[in-house]
Amino acid sequence: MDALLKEDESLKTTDSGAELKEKNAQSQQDLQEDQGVQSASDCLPDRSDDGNEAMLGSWSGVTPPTISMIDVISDKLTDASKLIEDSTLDLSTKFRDLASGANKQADTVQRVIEKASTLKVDGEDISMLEFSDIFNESLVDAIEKVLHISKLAISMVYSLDDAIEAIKDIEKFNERIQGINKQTNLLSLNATIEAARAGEAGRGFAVVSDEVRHVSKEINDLSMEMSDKIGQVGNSVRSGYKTLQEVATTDMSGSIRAKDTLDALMAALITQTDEFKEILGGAAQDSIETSTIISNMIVGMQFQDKTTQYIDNSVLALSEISSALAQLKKNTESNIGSNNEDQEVQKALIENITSKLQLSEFKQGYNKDLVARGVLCSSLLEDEPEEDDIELF
Amino acid sequence: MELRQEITSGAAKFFLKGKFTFSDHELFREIINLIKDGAVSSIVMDFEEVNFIDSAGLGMILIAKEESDKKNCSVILKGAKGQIEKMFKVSKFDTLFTIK
Repeated sequence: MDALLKEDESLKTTDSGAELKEKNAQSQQDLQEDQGVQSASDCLPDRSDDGNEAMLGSWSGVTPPTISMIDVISDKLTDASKLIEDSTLDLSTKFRDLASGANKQADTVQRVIEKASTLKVDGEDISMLEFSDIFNESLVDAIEKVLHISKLAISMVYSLDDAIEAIKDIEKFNERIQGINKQTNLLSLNATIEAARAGEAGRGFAVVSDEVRHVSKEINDLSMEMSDKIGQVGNSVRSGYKTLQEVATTDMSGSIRAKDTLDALMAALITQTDEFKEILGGAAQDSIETSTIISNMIVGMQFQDKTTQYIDNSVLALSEISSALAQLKKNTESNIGSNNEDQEVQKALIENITSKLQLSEFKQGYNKDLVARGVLCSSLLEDEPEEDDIELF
Repeated sequence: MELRQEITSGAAKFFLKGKFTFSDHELFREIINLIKDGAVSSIVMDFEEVNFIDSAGLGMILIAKEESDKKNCSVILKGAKGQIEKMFKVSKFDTLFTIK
């Protein structure tokens, strides 16, 4: 603005540029002559009515490029707003994808752990623990069967014992029969002797006595056979004992070892399951934490909303300023008359502002827009040396 | 094995010693007969000094259970240790008998 004022001083009248410069130099000289004392009236421009009108007129001459620059800047701001909005949207989407990715990972860990602890058997999913239980049951089942058979075998042994007892009794009876038979034989012998003594009268008796001896012999033979048979039964029973011993006897030590192994397996499975649960818990926790962080990030990006509104509001204000300036120019012109719009002044004004811009990408776009609005001649577009190496974009 | 018994007013205690196998079936019959006769209402079998038992031995204990159930006689298995204790566990004897 200071530069603008300086230039305005020399535009008091409708003098040419050279003359103006001369006048400027003159007043500068005056200033230098009065080193110590400077009265205000010497430094300030002529405050005559003509002077004021002229000043206003020239001010209004500068207004068009000013308005254009404001409009261009407005556009640039709108571009900036759009850039923020688009970028923020893009980031939001990417964050959401990130979150969903993290969740998928947790799910994958879960599935791996589930797969690791189940087996597919006959089309059914069986967990390791169930497997162990099934094994255990099978073992107990097998043992129970063995014990049952042993029990039955021992029962049979006891039944055989009872049979042996009965057979012993039968043997005793047999002996008694033989005893009785012996007696019978003796008696018949006696009878035969008595019959012989009786002579003729005892002949019938002798016959009977003979028959009795026959019968006795038969009984004896039968008795012997019975003894044999009893002996055979005894042998059969004794061999039965041997068989039953084999049936009843199973060394169960192997079962104990199997049970111990199973118990160890169970314990190991439980430990593993616990470890898996811990890992899962950790993964779930990580997933939650990631989700929280991402949610916070998305919330954090709400700055975009405010920023956009700030910019939009700024654009509105600039638009109003632009319109106000235009109106002011119109009023000034209609009251005072339009001024010869001094190209040199305008150029100086524009150059001064443009020189302040730092981003060459921005500067070039800015100048292009001004040319498009007919504010600048394309010849005034200077080819800026490429300084992009310095700027980080 | 060796078998020693102590009977006091309807309660019988049997102390088994050594290996309990098939060849002890005659000896064990004594216990079975005692139960069958209804002479006792409770039986304690002490396995403290038994160092081995096979399926025959276990089968005999099961027969004792069968007979004692018929006569409402209680059966307690006492002092089992080491291999005997493991055998009782594996055979689920704790579900059938009082184990001490």
